[in-house]
Amino acid sequence: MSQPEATDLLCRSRREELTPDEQRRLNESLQYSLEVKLMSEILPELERESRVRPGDDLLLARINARVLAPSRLSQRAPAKRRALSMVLVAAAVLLMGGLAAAWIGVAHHQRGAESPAESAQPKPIAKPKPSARFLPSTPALPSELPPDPPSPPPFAPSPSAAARVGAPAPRASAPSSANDLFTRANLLRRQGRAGEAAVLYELLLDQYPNSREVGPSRLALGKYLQATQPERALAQYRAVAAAGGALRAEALWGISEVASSLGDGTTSEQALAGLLREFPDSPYAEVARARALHGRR
Amino acid sequence: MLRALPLRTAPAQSGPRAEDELLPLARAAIDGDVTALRTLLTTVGPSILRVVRRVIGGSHPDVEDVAQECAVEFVSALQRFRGESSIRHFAARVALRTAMNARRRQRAAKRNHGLPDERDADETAGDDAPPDALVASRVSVQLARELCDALPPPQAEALALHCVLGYTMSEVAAICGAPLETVRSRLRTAKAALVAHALADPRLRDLVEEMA
Repeated sequence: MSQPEATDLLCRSRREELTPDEQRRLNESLQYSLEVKLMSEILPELERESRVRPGDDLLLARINARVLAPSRLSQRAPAKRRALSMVLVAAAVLLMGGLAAAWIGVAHHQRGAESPAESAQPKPIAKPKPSARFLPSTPALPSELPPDPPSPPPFAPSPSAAARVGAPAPRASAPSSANDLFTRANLLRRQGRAGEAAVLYELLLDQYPNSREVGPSRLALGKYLQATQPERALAQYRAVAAAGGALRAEALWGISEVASSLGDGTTSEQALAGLLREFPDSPYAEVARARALHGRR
Repeated sequence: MLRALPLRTAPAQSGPRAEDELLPLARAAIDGDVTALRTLLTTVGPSILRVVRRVIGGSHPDVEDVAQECAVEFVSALQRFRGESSIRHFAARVALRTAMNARRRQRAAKRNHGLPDERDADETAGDDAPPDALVASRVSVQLARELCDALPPPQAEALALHCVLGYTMSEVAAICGAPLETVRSRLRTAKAALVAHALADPRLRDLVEEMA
């Protein structure tokens, strides 16, 4: 039977005790094998990076709630049902195509019957449509082409928005709607450019205060500001909580967390009590109860 | 007698498992039991999160999004689970693949937008630059992650399972459903590439000289 490789011994040594002989072999390998040495640097570092952190229970509860949301679960149609759906869609497309072809045939026949002379005329050679790429930007567009959309105003996030979140303004082209701004901010956040994302969330709140993206933007801002500007984070959470709706649970949780970090135990407890009372089935309430049970709060 | 045993035979702790305690739960979840699915997700969730943090970085701002993507993939892949590995290993593999894809996507997007790879730069420098003793660890981790992005998928997966997630070779074989010798060969190539990259990296000069 062959002896286990040194890197295997290293993997096992991270979770169990090796026999003295195995430990001796591993120590020897660490002296002369660069690959074992590299792995001995990598594994502990990654263990440190992936250790459990405060708030993981909440994070996992959030993920589970989203994954188990009825809308998402209903998308998991069994393969047979999916195949049946595809067949039905294909049949519908074929049927529509057939009907359209029949209608065109009838129309053509009627037109031919009405004006035979017209159909005898040679058809003018259709000019090829110019490629969109080469269209002049402003004047004299052919009538069948839609006019160019008006160019959006130059995008300049207000300096005050950047100053408020204490982050540099992002370089970006002009967003055309609240949804566009929101999408762009989320993209920046995903790229790790949280500060720039926060500026865009602020801008969205300034420019589109009545849009439906306001609530999630306030929550995202609250999370960003929580560590550095807790009072402003609290204001964002309070605004979401006051607006009510599905985001109120998350906002109450945020209020509780920030108030607790500010030493305001009463507000924190009130928010938690509201959360448990109004949203007893939310993942936040679940975690709040678990924390209360374990005396963590 | 031992030679007659197929190499694919997995070790007791990682092979096809009648004793897998999560199997009944998984079967119920596959049959549409939402409570079972919730319990299953709650059980494997921490492992998924751990895999994501190891692959994309513990403090990466996308950890939650990628972990959710992994959980969705896991739920969807459960329909195809054939009991060839344990549920935990199955979840780890799904999470690993999803997280690696997410990392590749992010890097490609950054390249397309001409952005520097800030995360990787942050791992070794910045305001909270690590003391010298930690530089070798962080650079080694960075090299392993970059190799996982660059190697052909089978080698990348084997390297990630072994070097990043810490599975032994026989566990990797069981998780991948591949013969042990195949995994050994993939890892030999991948680890050689890791060593070559380390030798070429000036940040690891001290470590390399220490070995010499």
